[in-house]
Amino acid sequence: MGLQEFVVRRIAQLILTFWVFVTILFVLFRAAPGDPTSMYVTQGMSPAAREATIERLGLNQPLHTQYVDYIGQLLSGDFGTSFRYNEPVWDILVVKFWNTIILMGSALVVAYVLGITFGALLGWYRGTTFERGGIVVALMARSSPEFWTGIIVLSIFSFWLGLFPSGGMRAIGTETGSFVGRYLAWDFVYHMILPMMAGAIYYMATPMLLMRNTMLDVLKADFIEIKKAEGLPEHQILFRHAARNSVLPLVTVMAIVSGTAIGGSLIIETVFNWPGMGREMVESIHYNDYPVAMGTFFLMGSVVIMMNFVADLAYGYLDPRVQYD
Amino acid sequence: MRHVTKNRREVLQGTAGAMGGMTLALAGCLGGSSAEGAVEPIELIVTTQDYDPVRYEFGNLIADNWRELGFEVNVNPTAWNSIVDQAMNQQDFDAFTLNWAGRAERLDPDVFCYSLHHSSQTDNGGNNQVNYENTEYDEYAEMQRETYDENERQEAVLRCQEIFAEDQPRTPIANQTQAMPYLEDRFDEVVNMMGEGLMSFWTAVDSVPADGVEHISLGYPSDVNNLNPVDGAATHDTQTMRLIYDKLVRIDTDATPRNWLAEEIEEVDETTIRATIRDGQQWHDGEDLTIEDVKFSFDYLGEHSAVLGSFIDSLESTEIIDDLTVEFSFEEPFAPFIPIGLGQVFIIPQHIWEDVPDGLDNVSEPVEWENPEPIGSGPFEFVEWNRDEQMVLRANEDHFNPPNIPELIKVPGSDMSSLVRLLEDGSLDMIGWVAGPDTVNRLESDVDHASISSIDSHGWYHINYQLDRAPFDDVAVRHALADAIPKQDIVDIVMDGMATVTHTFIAEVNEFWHNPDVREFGNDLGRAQATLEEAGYTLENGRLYYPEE
Repeated sequence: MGLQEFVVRRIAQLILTFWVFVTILFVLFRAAPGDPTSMYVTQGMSPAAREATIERLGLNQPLHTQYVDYIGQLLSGDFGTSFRYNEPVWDILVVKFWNTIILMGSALVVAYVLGITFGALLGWYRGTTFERGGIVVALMARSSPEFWTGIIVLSIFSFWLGLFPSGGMRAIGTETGSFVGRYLAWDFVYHMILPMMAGAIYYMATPMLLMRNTMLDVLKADFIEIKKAEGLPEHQILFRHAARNSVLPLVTVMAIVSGTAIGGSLIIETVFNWPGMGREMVESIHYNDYPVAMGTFFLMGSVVIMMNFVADLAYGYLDPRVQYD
Repeated sequence: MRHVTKNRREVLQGTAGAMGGMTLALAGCLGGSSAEGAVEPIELIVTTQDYDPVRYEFGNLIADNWRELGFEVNVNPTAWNSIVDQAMNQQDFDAFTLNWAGRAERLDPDVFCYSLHHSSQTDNGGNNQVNYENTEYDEYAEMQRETYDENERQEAVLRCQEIFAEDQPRTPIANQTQAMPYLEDRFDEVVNMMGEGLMSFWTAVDSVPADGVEHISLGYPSDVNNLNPVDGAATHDTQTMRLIYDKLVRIDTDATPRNWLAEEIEEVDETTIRATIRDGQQWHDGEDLTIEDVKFSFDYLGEHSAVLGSFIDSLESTEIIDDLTVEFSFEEPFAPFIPIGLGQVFIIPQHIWEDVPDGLDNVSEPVEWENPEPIGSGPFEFVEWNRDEQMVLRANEDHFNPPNIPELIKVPGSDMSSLVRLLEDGSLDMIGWVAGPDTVNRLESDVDHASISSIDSHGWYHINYQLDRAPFDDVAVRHALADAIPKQDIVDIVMDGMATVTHTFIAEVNEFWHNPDVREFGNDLGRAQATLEEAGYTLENGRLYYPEE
């Protein structure tokens, strides 16, 4: 099978995956107990008003009708209207989606730059105390829950040293400007540093350990011996030849990890009071706000699915040895 | 469902001869959980631990004591959604824990007296989920609705509480203390209100910031849903909208109605009330506020708003008498109309809402509109809102009662602890949510300038029994169950002293309506055992059996 056919087949799979994914989403939310009016019952909503609300939201329709409507809406790019915000789901999510992407994106960039660098060094200095210590640190960072890492980072840099704010996306009372103005302001960056650090620490271990492993293989290869024999300086062999050849497997992992990182932003957003998708996801489930909840899952799931797709294609493209079957 | 349960008892008691073999066989299969004449197992529904640890913990404490009495009790932690669906709407439960939150309109006794316990409210979805029916109680509950004389009304409310305590259709446990943190150096004076704490209307309007403080930030663990007065079902939404929209009457800090946009309220006769509004008021967009706006608000919200409409469904008509006066008529006398009706309905501008929904795209009913820039006439004007970040409200200097706080910024937190951290690092000025004992202790000892504003809530934690089911249809059983509840331990241990034991549905802080002399149950396992024994129940091998008939 050639590359072209592979891509076409992969796209077909992608569409099928999306269909299964949105169907599962629909079933999960409709099968869950409770309805969107349940949060308001003790607030004085009468039974008649409750019925009327359920009817207005179309929840009294048979499930298959709701399903067809939902798929139809999605196909036309409409995520529906939030039950409790009275606003189109897309308008609510678009801002939060960016907040999450920017935070987790920067955390991943930092994690990968540092992870790959340290991983290469660990491989190079195999058998030293530096390597052993590095592995322990990496394993610790990865096995500590993000929540814990977040709290530690907060305690040290915000409460103990007083260097950074403890949460939020900007100082309370600052007016928000345009889209670009929102994210380019120093105030924003200043608030992002701690949560970004917490995320980076957590996500750094995977590239670091993986990089070390592939480095070990590459370092055994003949061409490294040849380069050494040529008398090239160590750092040149390390970074230009060994490391560059070890990065390939990381491409796949990077794509997959970035997908899960967007989905896993929930905890960091909660700890640092960051107005992103993760928080919205929890809140909307709490309120049975199906359109918003499904919207958040859809967006996060889409990132994961797309990233897997990209990983597959990229790997096939980058490594000529890959067989398309 | 109810009939099935009744049958179950009949099966167990009456037709035991015929069914005995089968029941015993079943009992074998089920591990001996049911035996001839034995009292049915009780399923006690509690909330999940993360939804409300207090209810989860005390549910387990209570179950232990009930087991001591010989009841077989299964504690079932259930998601709040399912509790609402199963227990509150379908009324399919044995017993469940509930907390009726204290809200301003619940300071008037009508909600707890009538909506929760009158026999007309027992339909599925109604607030009398326990199916309590007592004609004597009904009479007093109706009387308090129909009499405008405060003392007569008070008499009826006190009597309701006595009958309720005697019948124990629900067992009240405690009123929570609302301890809310704030930074004392940011204020000269902080106003607080029972049942609402720092989230009260009066906190925002009457608190005095310290010299030079330009804005006050108020944290809350979740954001507002929307600012549509037609929707407005969620507490936080209402608490925000009442700053932007005026009402004819406000519930004062002492729980009595205080004239607000209305300058004078006159009871013309038993079924007619007249309200005269203040002259020269304006909307935030500069338009004049007229008596037509007032009439429009009652007509429009009465028709379109599920929640506000329910406060005024007794209203028959609203008529304009002159430029400043409007008249409300009812079919029957309805005393709580002033605090509940006039005190809850937002006055909204006709020039904006008369075009909703017809003048808007994609909106087919008023409740669906997002009302992006709310225009009201209230003490605060809406400025800006970024969801999950902040909402900015500015003082309306032209208001007849302008607030002392120049700018109020509402900050939603992902949870209470993230808000407490913001308060600790000085970015937040106050938090409108109850802080747990740990937080209170830490803030008081470690954080400079942090103070705690405390006041008891008129909301109440309690246990509900399904009176249609055995064994709860027997008042002796309810007395015993109530006596076995360790109310004092719950307050001391589970709630760490931040609550007050209660025996009635009107809290002690709500002084005028509270009845301190009702029959008291709780904290007495011995008396509970004696009650059951007296009623003829017997205990065999630790299991309770019905009296022989």
